[in-house]
Amino acid sequence: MENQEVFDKVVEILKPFAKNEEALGSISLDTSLQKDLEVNSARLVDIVLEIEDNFDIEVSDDDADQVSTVGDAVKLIVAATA
Amino acid sequence: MEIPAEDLASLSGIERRALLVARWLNASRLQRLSHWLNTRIHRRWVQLFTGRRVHLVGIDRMSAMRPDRGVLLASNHRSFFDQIVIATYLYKHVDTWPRFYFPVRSEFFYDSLFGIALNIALTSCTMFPPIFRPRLKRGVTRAGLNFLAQQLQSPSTLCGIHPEGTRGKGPDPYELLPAEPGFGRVVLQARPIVVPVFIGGLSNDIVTEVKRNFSGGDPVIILFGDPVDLSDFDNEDPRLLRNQVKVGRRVLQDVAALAQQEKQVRAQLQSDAAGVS
Repeated sequence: MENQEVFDKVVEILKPFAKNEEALGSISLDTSLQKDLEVNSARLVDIVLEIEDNFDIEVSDDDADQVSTVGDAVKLIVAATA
Repeated sequence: MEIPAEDLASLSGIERRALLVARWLNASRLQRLSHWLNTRIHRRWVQLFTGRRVHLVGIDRMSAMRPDRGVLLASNHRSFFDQIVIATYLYKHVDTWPRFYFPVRSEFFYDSLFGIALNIALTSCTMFPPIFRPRLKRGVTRAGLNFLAQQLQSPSTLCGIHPEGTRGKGPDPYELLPAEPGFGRVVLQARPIVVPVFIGGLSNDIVTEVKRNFSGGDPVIILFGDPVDLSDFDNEDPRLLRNQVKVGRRVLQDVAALAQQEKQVRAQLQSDAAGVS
């Protein structure tokens, strides 16, 4: 799967969780989930579960801990689906 | 509790010292003294200020228990005092476990002198290991969870954890937050006996609690349920986030059932009290 395709899907997944719609409008690989999109820390788990469902992958808690930006999420998915 | 040097270095000076003191107290021969202090001395203070209001349901299940592995109490979390009150009445009625652990968020009890002093003076550092929220310090949290999983292999250990990880602050005291994955990880790693617990009736104000005790305030009700059947998860990988979440949800289902039972017990107690007056 192409990185751009993964990125677009990740953005779709993040939309319901992002509190900062302005940041969502200018989202990039460097966008932080918590600092920029203001995703509640308790909802990060739900995002990872959504990613698992959408990409049919399994994520360990160690890997989930590494996800801080959109780029981290894309990297995780690309590695898991490779 | 093994903590890699690089993880230890992520802590501030006071956090590091507090953690090392608590670790030493829990590992040294002083642990026996701390257990004696908790079960014979400290609990009496809490009893003095809560004894008139506390109503226990299912404590006989705990005293009848002869576990072949560690026991994990999974309780809801609404008040700062939930865990300490549950522990107090366990100490009073049950003498099965020589080792108790009540992991706690690091804020206050591991990063301020007053908090550290309280942890030592009131619980002999059984509020251990600390859970650090910041991402940079998660290595220490992980070491703590691994330590708990290891300790829970032994029938001598009882550990109290709030699966929700943080206090519920919404208007409904019976509403539960989602379980934290770390809880599921400990359960899946250690396979302990998991006992659901629901506690209701405590506020966050210690002065109010003391006043209520002597003025006949609403009861504090603690219900201990039957162990949760987690046999469906016997072959599941503890490292996977999805499994951790599923286990947490399963346990919270039983805690939620106890919450409904608590409503009935509370209504009955209130009806009895109205009948007496």
